[in-house]
Amino acid sequence: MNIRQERNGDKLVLYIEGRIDSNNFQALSDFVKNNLSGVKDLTLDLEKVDYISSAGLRTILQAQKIMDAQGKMCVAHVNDDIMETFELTCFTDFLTII
Amino acid sequence: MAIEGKLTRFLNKRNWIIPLLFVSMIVFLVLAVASYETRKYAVELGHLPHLRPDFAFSIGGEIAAMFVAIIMTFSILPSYKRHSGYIRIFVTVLAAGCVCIFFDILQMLADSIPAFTSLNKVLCILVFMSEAGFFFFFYLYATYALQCNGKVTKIVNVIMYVALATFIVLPLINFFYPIYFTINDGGEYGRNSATWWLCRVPFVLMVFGIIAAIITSKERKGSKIIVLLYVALPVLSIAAGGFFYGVSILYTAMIVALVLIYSFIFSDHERHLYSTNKELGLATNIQNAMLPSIFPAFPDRKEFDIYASMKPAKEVGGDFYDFFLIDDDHLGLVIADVSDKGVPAALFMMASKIMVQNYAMLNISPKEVLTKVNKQICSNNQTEMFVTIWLGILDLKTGILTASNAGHEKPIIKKPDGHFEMMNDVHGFVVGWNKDAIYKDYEIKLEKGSKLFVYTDGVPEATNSEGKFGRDRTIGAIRKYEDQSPNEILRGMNEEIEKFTGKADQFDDITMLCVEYRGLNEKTKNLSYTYEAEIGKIDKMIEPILNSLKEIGVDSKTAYKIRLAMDEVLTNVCSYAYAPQTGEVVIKSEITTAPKSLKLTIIDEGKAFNPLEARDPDLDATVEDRKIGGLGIFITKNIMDELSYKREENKNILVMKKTFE
Repeated sequence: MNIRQERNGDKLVLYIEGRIDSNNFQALSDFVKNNLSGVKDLTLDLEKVDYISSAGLRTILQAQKIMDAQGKMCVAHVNDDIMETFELTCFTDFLTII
Repeated sequence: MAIEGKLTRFLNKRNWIIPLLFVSMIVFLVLAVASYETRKYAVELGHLPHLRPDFAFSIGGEIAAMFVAIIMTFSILPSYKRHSGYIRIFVTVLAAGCVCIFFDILQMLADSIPAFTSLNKVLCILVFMSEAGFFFFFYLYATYALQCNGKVTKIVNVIMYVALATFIVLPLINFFYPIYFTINDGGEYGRNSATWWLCRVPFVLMVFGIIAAIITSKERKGSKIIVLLYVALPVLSIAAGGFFYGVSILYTAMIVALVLIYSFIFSDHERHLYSTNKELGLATNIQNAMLPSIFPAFPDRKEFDIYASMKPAKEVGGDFYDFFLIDDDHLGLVIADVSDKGVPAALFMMASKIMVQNYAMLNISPKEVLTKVNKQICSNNQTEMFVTIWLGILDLKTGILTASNAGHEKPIIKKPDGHFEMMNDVHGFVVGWNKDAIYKDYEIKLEKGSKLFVYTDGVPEATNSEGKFGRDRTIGAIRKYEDQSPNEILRGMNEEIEKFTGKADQFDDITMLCVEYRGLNEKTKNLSYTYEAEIGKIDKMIEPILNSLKEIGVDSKTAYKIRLAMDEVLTNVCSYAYAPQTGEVVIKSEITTAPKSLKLTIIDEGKAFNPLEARDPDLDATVEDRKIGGLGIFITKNIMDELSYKREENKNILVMKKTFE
């Protein structure tokens, strides 16, 4: 998994690439914990993510909780398979998916 | 035919009419010739004066005309029962002509003999009376030839009936008053010059009637011209001398005209008949093309074998069979019989066939298909036809046959180690009769090696001089071939039926369908391997199974879910089972091809832990309240069909099952 960030003032876009699973979610989790201070608008671009397991879901939930406190967050370019997982786990209820 | 008058109905109901008229004509001819010869003999003996030469000429022509009429009737005789309508009218006109000619000949023979004065008078009256009949039928035949049935024709017909009645009665007045003619003292016929024109009225009426028919007819111009010739001949004959008493060629001319028009119409009809036959042939071809007839029908499907055959009694029949794949795993089977034969039944059959298949393709149960087809046919059925249908849908994976029977013959079924037996199935009402008819489904499980035979009543009702083939013989015959393939079974049945019926005509279509359920040869692929329970190795644990699933044709979307489910379970094992130490995880998989399924067993020797007892996450909770965790097993439960856990010999054994569509 690679994470590329694009910052623009208090706006942050994270371009994630690869899979987010138990093997590598830690990298994203750490990034979220350490790099979101001052960010008011976070976008997770999942265009190049082809797999998310529950470990990945937890990380996204973690990010959502942080952003709920300091601004807003949205998830972009979700593929069909991942969308199904979001729906199954009702993540669609609180995620802003664009 | 166009005109349905009382007269034609009378003629059509009496099959003996043509032979009777034929015999009568011969009698009249024999009597006429005998009288003529007697008269000549009497002349030779010197008892009677010579016959006038113009009379002799006329009589010769008239006898020839009678001959022609008899020969024409003779040619119709072999198939007299089948002919109706205009052919019967035609023979009637010829007979009327013969009667007329007969009296005319006798009158000429009796003329100028003082001793026969009274007879002459009676004969003259009879000539006029029969002539009215002859003209009437002559007109009627023209309207038939032109297929007239319009208003004008109806009015003219009434006039003609009135004229017929009038001019049959009118000559009788001559007994008391010489309205048409006089017979002088020498026994010689003479016209009453003042009112003689009256006897020509029927002829004129006939000519006008025919001309009216020609004008109002919708027939082709060719036919009209021919009928014009038909009326022209008598008119010309009158112009040529008919007005002069003595030369009587009118009747002869009329017979000749009749024969001419008949020949024309006959050849015209033959041409029509030819094209109709050609169209019938086309209809048969279309009908045959609609039934699946290429065998083996599904060469790449090993789980069943099917064969069907239809032997129509007439060129086009009302039976049909059909079979089609509704989807990869469902085979639709149909056998049906329309309550009629010929082209109308064939059209009805085609409509029924299309409807049954269309509804069956919706993947609804047989009873629902029959209910819908029945409603649809009933809503438009203006014929008295109906259709019996047996419809079965065979699940090729399980061998379960769901069927519904709308008044059709009972299916005959053979279990793998048994004999063909007739099955007493639930019967619904025939389709197309009552829109509210109710149909029921029934289920039979076909074990691998079972055979199903369905057929139409042409099989049990095949007949020879001693009786019917019958149900018992049907069962007996099919048992002889029960170990063979559907193709061989049908061939055997056809032979048995042919042997039974011998040379007897086939009355009904013989239609049969046989299917053998072979089932799938299930292939199982078992994998078993052991890994260090490390998160980093999860990919490697999953990969071989995903590859095997790909081999049996599981699509990538489903494979994604299997990966996810396995990932969640294995993540659990790798994360918690042995923590903080490490251990091993054993993964066993069983993959079957039919049905496509996966059984996974994941075994670890770590701490006892039943993941199924983990509480499902609260999916309705708000973000703040949502706990991190519990999601993985929830996802797995949702993806797999079955999850079970047991603890045995200090091992956690988790079994997951999934059957793929």
